[in-house]
Amino acid sequence: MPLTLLLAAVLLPSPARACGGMFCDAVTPVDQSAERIIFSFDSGGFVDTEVQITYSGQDDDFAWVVPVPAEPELYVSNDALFTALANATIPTYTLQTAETWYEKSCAGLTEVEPPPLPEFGTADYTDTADTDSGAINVVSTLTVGPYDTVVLQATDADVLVLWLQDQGYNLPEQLSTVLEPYVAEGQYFVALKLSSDKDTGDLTPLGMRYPATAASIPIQLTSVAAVPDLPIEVFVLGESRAVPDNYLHVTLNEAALDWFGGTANYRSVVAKAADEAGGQAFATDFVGPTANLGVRVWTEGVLHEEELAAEPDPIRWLNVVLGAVTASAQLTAFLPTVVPPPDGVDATSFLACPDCYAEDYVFPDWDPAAATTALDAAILTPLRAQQARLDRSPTLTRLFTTMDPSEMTADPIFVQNADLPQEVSATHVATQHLTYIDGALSSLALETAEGITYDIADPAAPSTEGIDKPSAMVISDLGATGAGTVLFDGTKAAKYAAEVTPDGCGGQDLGAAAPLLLLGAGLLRRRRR
Amino acid sequence: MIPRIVRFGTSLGALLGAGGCAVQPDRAPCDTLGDPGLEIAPADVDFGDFQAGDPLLYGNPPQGGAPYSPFHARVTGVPDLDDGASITLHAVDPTDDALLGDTPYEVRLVCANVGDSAGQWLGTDLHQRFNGWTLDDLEGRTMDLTLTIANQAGDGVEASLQGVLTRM
Repeated sequence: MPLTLLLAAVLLPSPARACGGMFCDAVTPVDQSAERIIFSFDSGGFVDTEVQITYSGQDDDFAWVVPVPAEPELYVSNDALFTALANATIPTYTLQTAETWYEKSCAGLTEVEPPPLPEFGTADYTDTADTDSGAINVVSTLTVGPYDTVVLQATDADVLVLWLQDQGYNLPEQLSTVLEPYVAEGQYFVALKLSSDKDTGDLTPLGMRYPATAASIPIQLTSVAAVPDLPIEVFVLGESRAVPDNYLHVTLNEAALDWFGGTANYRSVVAKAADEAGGQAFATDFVGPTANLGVRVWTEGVLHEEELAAEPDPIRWLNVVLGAVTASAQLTAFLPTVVPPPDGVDATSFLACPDCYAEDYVFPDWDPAAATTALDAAILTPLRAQQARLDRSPTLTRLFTTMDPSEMTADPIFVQNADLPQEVSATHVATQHLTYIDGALSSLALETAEGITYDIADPAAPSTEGIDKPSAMVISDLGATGAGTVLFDGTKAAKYAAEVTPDGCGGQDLGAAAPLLLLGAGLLRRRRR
Repeated sequence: MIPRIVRFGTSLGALLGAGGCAVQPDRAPCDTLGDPGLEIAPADVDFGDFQAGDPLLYGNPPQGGAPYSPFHARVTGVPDLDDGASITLHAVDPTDDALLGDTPYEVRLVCANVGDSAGQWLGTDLHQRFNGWTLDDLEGRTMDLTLTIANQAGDGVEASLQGVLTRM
């Protein structure tokens, strides 16, 4: 495929673990690879859209076209904010364990102290780790970072594609079909390709700023090159929580998650939940104050650019920059262009330890002022702008879905809603209640955060697969105001309540037998004396 | 509003009484309830409350592009709309027969199990787009809107309403 656009980044952080006492918590972050977009609303009626672009293919084949509702301002963005926001809001699922131990006698079940735990480690969970004709009006042409860009309008989609092809944009013929509705609506188009002296290693996120009251992903266009169940992750910075306006909203049924397998099926559950909502729906992973996230991609005063511009030693210059500037793929790609590694040393090794090469390093034409100016333009200015957008935005919303190309028939629109709860935690906890009788595991019940308890059929090989359940607990229609309308409520759809029923004398229900058990415990102790 | 039932093409599935759909767990029985029927209303109006000649709000979509008017709809008696529904919104001004918009698309409807629409298929965001029209050109025009919704087997329903385009 000549055009392979994967607006994706793969982040596979190691899960944190906490384990001890009677509780062993397996904390599992979800797989994060996805097409990522950051929207940022400002009070002046503008929306900033930052799109993370990764691409696999030939340099000459790279081409990208995106419709926007108004003439945009284009700018270079940076991976740093994507990484920081993603890491700060990873949905994590914690399965905690509560054990109850009984001894069985013909008088009933007697609750007893559990045996001492082996030193730490009561469970072992695998880490989950896992894109000129009269019909064309060229508004502007600009070089933005590594891209040659053109902003244009068109009155005919076929002419638009032909024109772009003539300009060296490698675009598939079938693109004109999906461009037609955007052309009919009079939208602007941003087209970009790599500048002739750039290669795919120079790809950087692209920012677009334009007047709008809502944010939208031109997903219909994506359908041309999309893969099945394309993961889409959307971060929205703004005054208040963001919701999908023309897509439905799903709240996941946590019982559908594979708690016993590290919730590795998170994506599958989201995909099924979205399918249950007609294929066009988003789940909210996180909503909360940005101030509480501890996210900073730029701090004024950390880097003294005047001193840097006068630094005579390129290695020291490099060390200062590496120590003060938020890491990003763009920084890693930029630094070797101003401080090239010594002959025979690859850039990764050089940047990992510049001091290791200091003795032999000879840089004949070191110009710290030029290097600092270039750093400012390529890296620092985008970081400052990202931090400013973060600082002006009290609330961050993280939304997620997966979509098949066949479902990409309408562009999702996101609006802000101040009436809904303004906090949605990314942390989810369920409890597995283990019941032991005479030292042997007798039963296991899974209790979700909603307080719904499920008996697990085989405690020795626990799985949620057998539970008959929808993947969406709630499907709702949300908008810019109000609490929205609930269309589907999972609690009305299934028998959710279930009692824990251990295999004890008389098959009694533990809940009903609790007073008898207490009495039995008293009798047992007296006999022992 | 004039609901009427139509059949688009031949439906072997309907004749056999089986849609071949993937059964959703514990879904309300939208596949089996009642006679075929379709209700349509502007998005800001509850089903049943719209009267012929009432205002039909329209405006520029928040993401930009051609003017639009939002509607919602609910369907009974047509199976398998969660497998895929072909929707067409067709709008004309009866005073001069001007074509205001013709918007076909594919969606999958949701079977509601709570609220007033429980047991019915819901389409919550059906937008009539007015490609080629400006906001000023549309102001005050009478719009006859016809909505058709059909499943993949061709079984469908159709309903119409008439109102006066009024800016949001």
